[in-house]
Amino acid sequence: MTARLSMRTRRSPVRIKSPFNVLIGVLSVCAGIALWQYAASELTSSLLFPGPVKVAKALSSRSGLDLIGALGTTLKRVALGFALGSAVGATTGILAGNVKWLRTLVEPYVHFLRSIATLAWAGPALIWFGIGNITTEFLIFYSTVFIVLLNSIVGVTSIDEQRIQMARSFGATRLDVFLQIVLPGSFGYVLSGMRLAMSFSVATAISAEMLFGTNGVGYVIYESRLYFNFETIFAGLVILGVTGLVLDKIFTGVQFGLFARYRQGR
Amino acid sequence: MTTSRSHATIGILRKLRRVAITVVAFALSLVGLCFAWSLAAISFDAQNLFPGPLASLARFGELMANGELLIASLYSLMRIFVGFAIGCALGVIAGSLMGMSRIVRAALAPYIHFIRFIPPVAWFAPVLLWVGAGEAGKIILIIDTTVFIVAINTMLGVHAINVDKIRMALAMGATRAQLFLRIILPGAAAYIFTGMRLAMGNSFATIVAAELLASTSGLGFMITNAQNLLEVPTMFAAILMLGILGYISDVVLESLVRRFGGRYLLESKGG
Amino acid sequence: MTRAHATPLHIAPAVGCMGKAPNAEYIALKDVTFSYPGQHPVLTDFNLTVARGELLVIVGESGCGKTTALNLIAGFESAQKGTVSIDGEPITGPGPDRIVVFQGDRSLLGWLTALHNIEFGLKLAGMSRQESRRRALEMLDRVGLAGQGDKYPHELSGGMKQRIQLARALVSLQRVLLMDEPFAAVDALTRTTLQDQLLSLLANADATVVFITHDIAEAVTLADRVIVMRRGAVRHTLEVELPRPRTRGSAEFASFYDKVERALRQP
Repeated sequence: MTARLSMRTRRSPVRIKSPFNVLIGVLSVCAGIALWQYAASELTSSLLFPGPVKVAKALSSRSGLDLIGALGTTLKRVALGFALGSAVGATTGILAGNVKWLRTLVEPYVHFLRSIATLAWAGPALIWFGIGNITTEFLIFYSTVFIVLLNSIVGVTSIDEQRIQMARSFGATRLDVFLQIVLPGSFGYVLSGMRLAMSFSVATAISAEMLFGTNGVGYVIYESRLYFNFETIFAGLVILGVTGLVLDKIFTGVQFGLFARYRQGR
Repeated sequence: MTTSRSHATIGILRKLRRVAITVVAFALSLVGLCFAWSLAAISFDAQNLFPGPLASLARFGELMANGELLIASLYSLMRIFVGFAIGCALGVIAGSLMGMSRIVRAALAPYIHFIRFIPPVAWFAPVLLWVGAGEAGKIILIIDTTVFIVAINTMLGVHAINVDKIRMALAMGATRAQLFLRIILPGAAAYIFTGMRLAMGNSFATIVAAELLASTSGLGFMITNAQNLLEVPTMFAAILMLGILGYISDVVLESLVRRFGGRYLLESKGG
Repeated sequence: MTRAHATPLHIAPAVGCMGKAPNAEYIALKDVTFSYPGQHPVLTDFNLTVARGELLVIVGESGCGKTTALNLIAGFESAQKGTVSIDGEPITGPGPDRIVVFQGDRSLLGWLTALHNIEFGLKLAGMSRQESRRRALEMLDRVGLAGQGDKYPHELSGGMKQRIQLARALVSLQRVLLMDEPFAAVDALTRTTLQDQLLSLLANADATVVFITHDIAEAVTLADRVIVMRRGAVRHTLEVELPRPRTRGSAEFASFYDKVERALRQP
């Protein structure tokens, strides 16, 4: 007859990190791993689909260490392009947010360029800069800059006009307003743009390594397919997942912990 | 003495003036850009390595006329749409379940918040070995790209539905199915379409990467092929096409977000 | 105390017409104890009856448990102890025999037009498109919003939105109408209009109404009987023996107003 949904007929918010939920999560993951092991050993050829045990072995073996080394290479790559892209994006974005004509000028191009998949530029970039780090950094830069730029613009434009008026009424100069109101107010947005761009820049780095790289996690994973080395592939995927998770957590930690007072909208 | 009508006219004129200034400024910047672009192109020796705007547009026109560009686009789009449709369906179902049930959410959350950080392209390595370099592999990649974002956004959307709507429907005698189809889905629609919008952008990126790596058709292949022939104009044409397709799909999805009341969600798309 | 019944507003069988309870105890809460998880009980050994066809108004300060009592009748919550029943049958969940009108506009569906919102309950019940549209249009007219049917909620004022809610509830009304401060978010002028409109819409309906409000004048205007709750119990009951239609400025009105106000202020 009529539905009796036990959830959500109350107005109380859903608690996210209650111990009950954590328990369910842990149980679920254990069940998942067990299922994975079962599927890998019973249902398919374990050559094609390694179970968790094999993957764990691969991680803790020599190739595991190699992967960690490759991860370092990849991360260094990402760090450079990401830092550059964020710096340029944030500066341009904050400027554009402040200066109306700059913003109207810049925005359409940014939107257009951003809607082009980064890796499409690998074609021309390889011809111009050759196979090497410059191309990779260019691509990583490209994947970062527009996202940070647009978020920075939003950050500046979302600052409540009232705040600026308030500061002015206290006699603040334009520079004061910029340093004391605009910068802190948009900082949270810049961070969230960076957080968003982070996963894209890693993905771009991996794609570039797969396409024309000679080192890094992407290269190792893609190369391993030539030898049907599924253990290494899966180990690499796990490492990527963990890396992404850790990086994201670092960003949320910075956003909501260290720089919590700069949270969006505060 | 000015009447209210002339006040209104002044207001409209002011607006027109502002729009005109914007348009002129944009046109000027475009011209300036093309000029700078042409200069840069000329300073490169081989026209083929860095074509100017005219050469690029000419090539674009050529490739459109002979259908190559359209065919390549269709291949890429077809792969995206199939994977996108499946991924969205799975994502909406999973996300709705997560949004409606605390237990499902707690059970699925660890998977979603781990697997979504693995770049979809990375999966190409095992997928190529399992299903080869055909359509299935690329579609699987698109499903991976889509499902997690859509699931998360759907879950957020379901959570955001005000409990009064659910109570109202229950008090009207809604069955489970009716509650889902008439309240939950439309209520979360703005979030779902926002997730789809994000996923669409990512899907384009994934398909290009996949086609660059292992394909014999599609826009990515067009680029790779042109690369072997050192034909940058063709690359530019494909890139322009990608931009156009990306823009159109984004506009369509954005209007869907708006239709379902998502005015507030459009701001921080990541741009 | 009875209101004139001409032709009923609509004819629909009440759910659970077996198990007839005495008319005076059509809705009954007996010895109900209820608390939200992890909190002190809101209602302890709470007793309340509502007679069939009566318009009961509950007033009380915030936190006195009136909304909780309504939610129990509506079936959104279940009591930990005691029974909540309608026509002798225990209430196990929400249902179309007890339609709810909420405070604010959050229960309106923003993606549907006003007319479609009104039709919502009818569509759920499987009514044909023509029939549901016809009834909805008629009700739209009766709440004074003719011609506004194609507007979306966000294009309507607060008062208009409440009228849509009323229309939606009344067009699907079976036996019981539950209203939780429905006019609280509306300005004072619109409020009195809505009250009058509600009374005229209910005049021909064979409905039992439980209405919650903070507004004493509203209580005296609407109620057959007013109960005052404080801290989870009924402290006072007042029969409002004023003939309808009631004049808000009259001396009799004022005297009932005083009685309610004093009852509210008593410890």
